[in-house]
Amino acid sequence: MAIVGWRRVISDSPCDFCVGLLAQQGTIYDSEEAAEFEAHDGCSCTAEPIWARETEPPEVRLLQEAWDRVTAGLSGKAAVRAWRKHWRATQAVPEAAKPFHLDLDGIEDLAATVGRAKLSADRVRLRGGGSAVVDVVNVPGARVVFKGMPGSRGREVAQADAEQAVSMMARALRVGAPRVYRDEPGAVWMDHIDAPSVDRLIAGVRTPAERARLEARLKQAIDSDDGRRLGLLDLLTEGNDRHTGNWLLSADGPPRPIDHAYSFGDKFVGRVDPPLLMRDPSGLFTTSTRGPFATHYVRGDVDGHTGEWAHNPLTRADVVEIRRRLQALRPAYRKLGREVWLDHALDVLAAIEPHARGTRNLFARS
Amino acid sequence: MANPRARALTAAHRRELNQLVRIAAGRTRTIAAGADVMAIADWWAAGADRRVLELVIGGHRAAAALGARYLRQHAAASGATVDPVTPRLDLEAARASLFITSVGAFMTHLRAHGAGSEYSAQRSMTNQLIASVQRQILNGSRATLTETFAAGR
Repeated sequence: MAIVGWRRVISDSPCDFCVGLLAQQGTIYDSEEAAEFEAHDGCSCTAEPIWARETEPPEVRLLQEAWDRVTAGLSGKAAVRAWRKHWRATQAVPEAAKPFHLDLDGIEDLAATVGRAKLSADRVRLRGGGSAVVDVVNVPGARVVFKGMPGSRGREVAQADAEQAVSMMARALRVGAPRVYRDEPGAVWMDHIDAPSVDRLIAGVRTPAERARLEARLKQAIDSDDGRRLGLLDLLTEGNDRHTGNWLLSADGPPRPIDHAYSFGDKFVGRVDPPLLMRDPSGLFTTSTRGPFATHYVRGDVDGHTGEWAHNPLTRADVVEIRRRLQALRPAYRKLGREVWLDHALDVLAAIEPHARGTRNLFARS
Repeated sequence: MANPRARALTAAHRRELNQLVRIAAGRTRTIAAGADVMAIADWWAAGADRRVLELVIGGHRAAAALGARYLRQHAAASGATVDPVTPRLDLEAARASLFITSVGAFMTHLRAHGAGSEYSAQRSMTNQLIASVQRQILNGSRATLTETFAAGR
């Protein structure tokens, strides 16, 4: 048996260059290029011989997936810059958060605020008792929400997983759900969104004129591009709790979804059924079993017992782009042990794909 | 994947190399500390270049010897045989790299920060010079392996 190649062995605290190289090329060099060991000044990587053909270990395959995800659509220096940013964010994940986050890319500021919030006594309890504990925690210059899930026997973990999984998908789809940071199994920290919930807006209505104005405002929000994107999120994540308490609407901003602990419910995941249409109890708009925004994707009798997929506002290019973004989430969902949720979202996307009749891209670049 | 014995050899080899690099870094730092910051090119040409180059040559040779021993032991632990190649240090490339990371690094820093930054330029030079020395010494071990592979031995 003779030497058939070598493996790059990186240090315990490798730099972004070496990890980037490893993520692009793998650790194993067994071809003609193997005569050169790329090393920068200060590089402490070494080589280990290989005596028989072998495949990359799982941790390297994960890195390769991360490279593909982080540099998708980029090349050259832009890809390297994106990788560096990602790698530094990865290195910044605190030990307690590592079971839940591959990196802190895009939530670095939230994680930092949570670090300060844990020391803050300025805390207002919004909910408690039998349901989730929800606290708004103030720190100088920022405000975050802590949500401790109720239940036991893993239900609280499933709910926290759902909050995090939906938040990640919302970010991928550019929907303004709160970002989630997590460093314990049964609880999440989230952005605080400074806007009233729709049920509060409804409760504030005093006159028929006010009601008419609110009705128009809600319709405008539901029918906006942001509303259509949110509808897709609610479909893909089986968001069955989008009642008027779980979306916020500021005077001039897009609709903002909150509270996703009941998404990806066991009885829905694995079945791809069109939601049913119904009248919202407020009487102000039509909604569905996946909330009012999902009505852009279904048709049927309101308050009837059947629904079917309708022509939807997505274009073919949107579907391709959405699929790409969802696939890029796979390592993060795998980290949570929830790949089945991602597969379900892809199944829902496949179900509505034949009905994509949009003429203007909502997700893909035009 | 390498077997546990081979993995332990790899870890031990990395520790040996780290020790070698630490010693070389200390000596490089001592040499750089004696720099004449008012006449950096003269200081370099007056002997510092030769002293650092000798450090690299010696370190490279030591790393190559460690690499060859490691390679034989790793082969034995894996039920293989190997005849390690002794790599050659490219002296011209080594001199060029040391010049760039000493005089070059000093002048670059000085140009960026202006007169009065000589001592921070010296610190920058020291760090870059150490990094170059480290890379070139470790190349002794790396090249032993890559050249052995390329030679099919």
